[in-house]
Amino acid sequence: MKRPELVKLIDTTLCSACRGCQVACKQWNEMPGLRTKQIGSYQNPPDLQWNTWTLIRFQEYVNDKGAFKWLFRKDGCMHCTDAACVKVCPSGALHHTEFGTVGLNSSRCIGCKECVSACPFDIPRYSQETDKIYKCDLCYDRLRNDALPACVKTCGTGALTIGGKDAMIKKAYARVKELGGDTNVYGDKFVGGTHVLYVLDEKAKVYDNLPRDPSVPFSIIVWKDMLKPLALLAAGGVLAGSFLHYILHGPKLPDEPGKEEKGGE
Amino acid sequence: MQKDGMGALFGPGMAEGPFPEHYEPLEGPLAKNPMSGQLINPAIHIFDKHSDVDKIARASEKFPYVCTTYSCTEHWCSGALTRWQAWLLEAMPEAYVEIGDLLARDLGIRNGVRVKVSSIRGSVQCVAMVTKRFKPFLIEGKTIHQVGLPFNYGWLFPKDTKDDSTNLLSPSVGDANTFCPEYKAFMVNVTKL
Repeated sequence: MKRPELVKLIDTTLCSACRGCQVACKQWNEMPGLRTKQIGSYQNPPDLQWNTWTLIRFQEYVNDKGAFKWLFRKDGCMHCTDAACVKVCPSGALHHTEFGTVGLNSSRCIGCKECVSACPFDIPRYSQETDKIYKCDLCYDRLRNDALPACVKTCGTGALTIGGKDAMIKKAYARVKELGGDTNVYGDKFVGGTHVLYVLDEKAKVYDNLPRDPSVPFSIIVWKDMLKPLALLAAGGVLAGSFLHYILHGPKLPDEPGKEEKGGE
Repeated sequence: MQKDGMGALFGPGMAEGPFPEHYEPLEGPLAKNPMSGQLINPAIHIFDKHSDVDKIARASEKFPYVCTTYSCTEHWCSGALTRWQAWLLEAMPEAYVEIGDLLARDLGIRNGVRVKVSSIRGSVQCVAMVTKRFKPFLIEGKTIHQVGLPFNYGWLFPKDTKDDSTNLLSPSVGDANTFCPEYKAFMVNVTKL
């Protein structure tokens, strides 16, 4: 069955930072809650970790006019179209799904951590215990069963919505037009367009841990997009050459005894 | 509120009233009500002031900061039920006191360190959360700082908890009709540990 390309929209202007998404994600994905410390912030755990695939980032911000804002941003996998993690994954554990999202097949993960260093958004997290990486798969199992991702399902304010790609991009721009000011759409203009879009309350540069102009690292493009096909071509060439040699010169036969040519021994 | 669902300026049948009036909290920064001659609600029940937990420190230099209490989203009431839930405890693990950045600077308190919050009735230790969200009040020409604590922490769980109940600080007084506790405004001091 043909599935529509999906986009999740995170409207930060509607988020009340209740963290229902953070907990619902753990519940559905059966991730444990670990002991934490109060470190002087509502943000806890302090960062994404192997058992925390989505996290509300709390940030106090005073703009140049002196106005104070408490910014909330739900962090998590952006599900890039041009996904660096999928490019570098050597085992096929990270892959594009029929929804356009980036899925993770844990049983294939070999714990090489290439995706951890490749991701422009710093999303995948490695667990030493299982020797695997973890990240949001936008509840692939739920999407397959026509259910909303756990975070979207639980969101009480309507800050999280999901739908067809074009409709959601349109919705995001309509919302920004309605709000005006510094609000902006984040996600559709880079890495081939992400399948998670933000309506940001402030300019992207204001937010912690949010790259302004994320891209697939150049070295990955060189290695995986240019040199990898060349290497495959070379490997194919070796095979084709050997076959051609077989056709033209026939198989190599064992030398007859006594008829050795000079040299050897 | 009336039976018809509307509010009313004339509200007979209440312990105080029938007209609305502004009173200061039982324990506040002011010794005199600037709005009228009556400082506190005359209809509230005040317990024996000679017991340790019923002492009041009104307009006291020893307890100069207004304290308010509230709940965080993750826990319910004292947290006695919700602190056992690993996901909720992970998101909100320990008691904290929110302190405005101006007051924190005056007191030399850094974000994330443990501090002692005390009222005349008792004291608790918790983590300081320095924030721009708490702004000082200007009351009768004086700058008065406010701090805030959640009431979701206490004893029993987690087993190694160092948190005490915020109720050790608050006064035992309620409104004159329903005894809804007056835990939104009382006076404390905050000190470095």
